[in-house]
Amino acid sequence: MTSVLYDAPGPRARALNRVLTLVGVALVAGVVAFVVWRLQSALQLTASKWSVFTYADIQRALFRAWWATMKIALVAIALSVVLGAVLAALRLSTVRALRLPATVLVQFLRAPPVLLMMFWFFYGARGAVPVFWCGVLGLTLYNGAIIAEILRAGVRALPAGQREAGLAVGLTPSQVTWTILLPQALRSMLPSLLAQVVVILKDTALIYILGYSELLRWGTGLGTQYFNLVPATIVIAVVYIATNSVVAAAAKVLERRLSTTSRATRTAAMPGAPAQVESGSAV
Amino acid sequence: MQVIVDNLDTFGRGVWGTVVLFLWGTAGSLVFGTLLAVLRVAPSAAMRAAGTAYVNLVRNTPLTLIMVFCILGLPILRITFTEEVGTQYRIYAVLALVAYTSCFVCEAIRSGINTVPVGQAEAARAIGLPFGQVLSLVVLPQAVKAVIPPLGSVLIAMLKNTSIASAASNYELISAMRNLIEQNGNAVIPILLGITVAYVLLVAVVSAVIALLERAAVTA
Amino acid sequence: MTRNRTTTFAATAFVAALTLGACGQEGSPQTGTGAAGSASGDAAPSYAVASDVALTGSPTFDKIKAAGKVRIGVKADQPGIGLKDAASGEYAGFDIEIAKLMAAKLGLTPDKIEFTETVSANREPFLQQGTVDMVVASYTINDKRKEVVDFAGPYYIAGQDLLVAKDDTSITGVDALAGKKVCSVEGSTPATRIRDEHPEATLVTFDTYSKCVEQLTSGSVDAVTTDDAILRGYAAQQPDALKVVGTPFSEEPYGIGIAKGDTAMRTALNDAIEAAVSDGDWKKAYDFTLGGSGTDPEPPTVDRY
Repeated sequence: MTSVLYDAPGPRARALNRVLTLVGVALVAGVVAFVVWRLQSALQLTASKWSVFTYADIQRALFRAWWATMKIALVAIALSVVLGAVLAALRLSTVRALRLPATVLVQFLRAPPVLLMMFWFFYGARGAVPVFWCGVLGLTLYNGAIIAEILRAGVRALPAGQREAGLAVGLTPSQVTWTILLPQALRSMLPSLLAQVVVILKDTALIYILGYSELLRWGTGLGTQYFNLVPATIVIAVVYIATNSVVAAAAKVLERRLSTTSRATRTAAMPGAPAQVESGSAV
Repeated sequence: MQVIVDNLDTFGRGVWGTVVLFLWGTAGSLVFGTLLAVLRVAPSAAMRAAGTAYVNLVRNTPLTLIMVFCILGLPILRITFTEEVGTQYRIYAVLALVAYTSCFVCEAIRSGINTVPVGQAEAARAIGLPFGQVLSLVVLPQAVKAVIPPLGSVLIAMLKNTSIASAASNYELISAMRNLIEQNGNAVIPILLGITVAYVLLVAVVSAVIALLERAAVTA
Repeated sequence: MTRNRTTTFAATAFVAALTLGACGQEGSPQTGTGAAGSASGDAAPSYAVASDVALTGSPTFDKIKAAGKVRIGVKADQPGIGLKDAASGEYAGFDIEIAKLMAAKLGLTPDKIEFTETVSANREPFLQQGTVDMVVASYTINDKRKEVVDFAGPYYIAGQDLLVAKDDTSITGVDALAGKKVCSVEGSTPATRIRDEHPEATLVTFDTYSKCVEQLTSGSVDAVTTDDAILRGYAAQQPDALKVVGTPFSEEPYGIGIAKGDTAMRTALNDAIEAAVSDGDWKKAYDFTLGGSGTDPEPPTVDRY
């Protein structure tokens, strides 16, 4: 699609592109050199600030901290999907008394920041809820609402015949939702759902503000102990980026695999562009 | 609710801080996000690669970490903007918000560009317009309609993300909440409620503005 | 597609490397002076563990007896006071030594202590909910807190002070802060004191003191302010770059927090602190942790309110 925006480059355009490429590379190299120079002069690149990471004990501890982050994320993801499915089913219900509160709840849960939701449990329960669960529950409430909307959009994009056929063979509306509609929505919305998984993974970092020892807090602790906060933060960032890149790449591969079969449904969903809206809100 | 009424000034300072972060963040990420989107569809492969690399790198980093980089890293790189400390950290926080949110603005705009019928760009090229004009005169104006809803979600997400600036010497709603709780330990629930209501209202206002813009764009 | 595969592969390889881990030199890196444990480089002091301790009428003690261990809330991010070692996960610092001392007097060896990280905001809730049996976490005794928890001690009298660059001669005390950038933690008592009583100083706030110290070493702020004990911990880490001004302008008696109403436990801990002061264990604990900052304070008198 993008190539439609400009003509096939001729000799002059190709020359211009080469110049632009050179300028771009020079610019990036310049920025990198500037950063390295300033870090060097601030003594951030001295061996003593980095050598800590060459020790096996530290690497093992880094892995444990990474696993602590993954544990929060995995539990939060599992619970969010369950909550999302329940909320989506309620919003799709034919019973008004179920649909309305669910709609209000979903709209409400999408408004406050995740950090504030963690604080609800942290401060609101006066310590009765362990910090781990404050984080997980905060993540679950918010992402459950988002996933509910993704699933609902997925269900709405399904051909009406799916639902009608289910009802025709004598299933109850809720059976239709749970056994026919939601499973298909889950499949067609997998890329958006995986994008949301990246969001959850990133948001686990918020729990460090509550004092739970996960990757970021372990990193700041290490930075405090060896007064190398900046190098420690850089190492932690690399770990986050690598982990999230794996999930994001998996989402891309899946999207491509699915695109052949679900192209029709996704274009059908395009007017309101729910998939795009949701991955857009995946911030 | 008495505690909110008694501390309206603290509360108001918090709301104001959040609003200021949001407005500057919006302005910055709209500009930088559009630039990134242009990079990602540009004719030069190097420009496309630069845009893609930036988006993939920053999008996968927690905002909390980007915030830490800005407040710890920029002073070390001796990138400072003003002598006034309050403003200095506000700028750092806005930079972090912009650096992060721009990735999502860019993706929203790119998906918007994809909704513009191919014939539009082809027609523009046929009458001899260069890349810059194809984009700025023909494609982007038409993409706006499709871009507004996802962009709205991105901006609402950023409004909520301003809460992370509380850990970076920025006084906003979450800082106000922590201060109020520290000083009024017996009124935690009303404080939490008050802060939540403030966010819900702010989100409602932003949503309403976006809905208005959307209607204007559709009828235009 | 190819590029994507490459990215996926690289990222997977990275995560796999993390998982398998341990591709570096064995052992743990040398800790910076006074960072996690010993300021003097000596071996950790040990304290005589009391035997056959019986304490009647203390619900906390009954719980400890039944569990066979004591759960103590401590700070994990304050060098010299309470810091969790990045590699081993073990805690070290003055508060940790005090906690071990208290456990010993209650008849529990250090391996029967379960340390739990607390941050300032959850100390009272942890005690109220019984998440921990006691809190030894640079916990200032004050009347507002006494309404919800009980305190034994004080075991140390800290005071708000200033940490500055080693070569800074302009900041001599709290009255020389006009136009200076002073860093502290948002919502903390030291931050509130600067905001209310010293508006001539510019307050910068973060969520941890470590970030403040980093800002100080990079020259973005002129001073870090909080209790001198905490500042000493940082000064001991980088004695060539940082110093504590040494003119405290408040009094922060550190106490051991316990559940409200457990008078038997409070009396037992007060006795334990007095005994530790008189038999020299208190001094051993101090010298081992904060002694590196070159100070030798008088132990405080226990306040049996």
